[in-house]
Amino acid sequence: MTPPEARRRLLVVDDDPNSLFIAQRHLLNAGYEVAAAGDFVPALEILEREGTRSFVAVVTDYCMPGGTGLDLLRRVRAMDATLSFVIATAVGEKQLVAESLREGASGFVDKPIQPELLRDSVAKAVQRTIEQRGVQQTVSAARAVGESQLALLGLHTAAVLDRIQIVYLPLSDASGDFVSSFRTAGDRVVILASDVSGHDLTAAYKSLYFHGLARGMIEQGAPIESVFRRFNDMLLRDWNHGGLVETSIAALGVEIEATSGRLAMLNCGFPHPVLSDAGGWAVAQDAVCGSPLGWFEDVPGAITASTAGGVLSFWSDGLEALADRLEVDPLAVAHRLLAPEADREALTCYAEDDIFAVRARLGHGIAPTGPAAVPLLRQVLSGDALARIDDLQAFWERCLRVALPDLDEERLFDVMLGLREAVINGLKHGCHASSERSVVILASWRAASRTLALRIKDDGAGHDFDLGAHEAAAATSLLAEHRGLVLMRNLAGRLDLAERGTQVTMEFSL
Amino acid sequence: MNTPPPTQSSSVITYVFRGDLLSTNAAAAQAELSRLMGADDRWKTIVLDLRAARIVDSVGLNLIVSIIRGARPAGRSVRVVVSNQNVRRVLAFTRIDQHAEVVVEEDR
Repeated sequence: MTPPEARRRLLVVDDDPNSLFIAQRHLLNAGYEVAAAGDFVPALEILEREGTRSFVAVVTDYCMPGGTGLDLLRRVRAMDATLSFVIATAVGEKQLVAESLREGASGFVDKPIQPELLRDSVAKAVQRTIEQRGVQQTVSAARAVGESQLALLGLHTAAVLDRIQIVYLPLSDASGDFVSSFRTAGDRVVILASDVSGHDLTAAYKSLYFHGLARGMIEQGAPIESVFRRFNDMLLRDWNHGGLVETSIAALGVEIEATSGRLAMLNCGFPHPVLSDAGGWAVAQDAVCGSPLGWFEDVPGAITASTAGGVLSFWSDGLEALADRLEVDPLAVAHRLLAPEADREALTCYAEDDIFAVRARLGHGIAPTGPAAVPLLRQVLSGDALARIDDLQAFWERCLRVALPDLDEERLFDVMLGLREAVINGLKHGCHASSERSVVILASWRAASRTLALRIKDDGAGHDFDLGAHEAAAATSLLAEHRGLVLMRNLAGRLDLAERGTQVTMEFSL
Repeated sequence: MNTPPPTQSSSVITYVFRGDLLSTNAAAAQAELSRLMGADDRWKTIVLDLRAARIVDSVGLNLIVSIIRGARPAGRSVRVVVSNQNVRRVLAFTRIDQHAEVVVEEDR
């Protein structure tokens, strides 16, 4: 911040003693403290000796023997870009004026100097210096907070790297969105995610405060519910009193028992996390989701689940918004951003909010390349969705292109046609086009074998039949029935029909 | 799917698909083909030009099979023209290429 004593101090530079004296007098009369220099070099010496922060503006003649006013501006801006300049030029030197403004001068005055015009130009220059110094201070503070966030994240992530993948992409230096993770007693790992309302520096401070408080309480043995209730009470009592909601925090807390894979999870205002099993199939979640902390008195209890070998995926609302914008499943975006060698910029250039995504392995350590099987898509279709099949196919294609950008075009064709057939089969024969029924589509990626697995499940009755025998007969006799299954069988590396054909699983080696 | 006007000589009907042959447009194509084939029964060969198709699904395949099955008893033939290798592959593993002449030509 500009020291109070420097708020009104100016440096006036002119090689003409009369002009220097007159300008000095006008500015003293206007209430400024004024230091004077007779040329380029003495001016520079004053600024270097006393510091640029001792002044709030420089008023300089353009034509001087030791160097021009523009030269002085360039030298000073290299030291301190916040100090504003007013340059005095002879009447009509428009080219010099234009050049000075391009270089960052905040104003100019014609010589001979008119007192009122000088005062106006200097007042504007001083105001600009003060504003720029304020901005610079905010930016510095934001960087410091952001560096703290990144340092904490790096520290925490290093301690849990065997279990958790995190990608954290704030839009600015400091963010109200934050995620942290740490080990606690025994084999427990805790992940905390927060999204404080607002995008300013205050939000970043509050987010860090939440993480610090939560970590301290949890390390002392407090369950996640207690932490969230405590913080909710604090927000309601100290920050959101009188019915005014000034601060709210969407928060997600997860506690994982490393050996058993059991997890306790409490979600207050975050997008729904996705739990997937060891096969990478996303599991339907009926998790209770509370309001963001700071809105209401009640905080729900944590839910528990156990999926040994599975994966928990969650992300910020910024990622959800990005997925909406790209018209793809958030799982696909999360997978792409979490990939170690991902070209994230190709996606995040569309982001309008801070983004993070987390993937935690439940039960066992995570390999350096990530868990064995991860979900890429979960979609539930109403049984009467057949008319939208082309749009649905376009959606699946977008999801796969985002999640697996190096997907071969020919294999993509196989995947799309196989998936289309399976979904049409489910909608027509499983759901009989009834909106009362549904088809669930799941996609799972097994990186080690580069296998994309698709599962399509309808809630119809299904029926038993021998696909192998049918395929030969269908080809010979040109039967129309089950041609979709024949397609799937030939397109996929592996086709599995289960539960009387209501569950189709296809694997494509990519 | 809208198609350009089919070309027809006394013995050959050519029907050009402008894009993919899918569950969402097969019925319209079927109706148009039925009308064409019924309008003049002197035709001996029907050409299904699928060079613009990138994908043919099972309902689309069923349309092709229907045409083959309708043509056969009268001693007529069906020629399917494709340019996309994936479409060609689908016609092969469903063995439709054993019931109709499948010709691979470059896209127009």
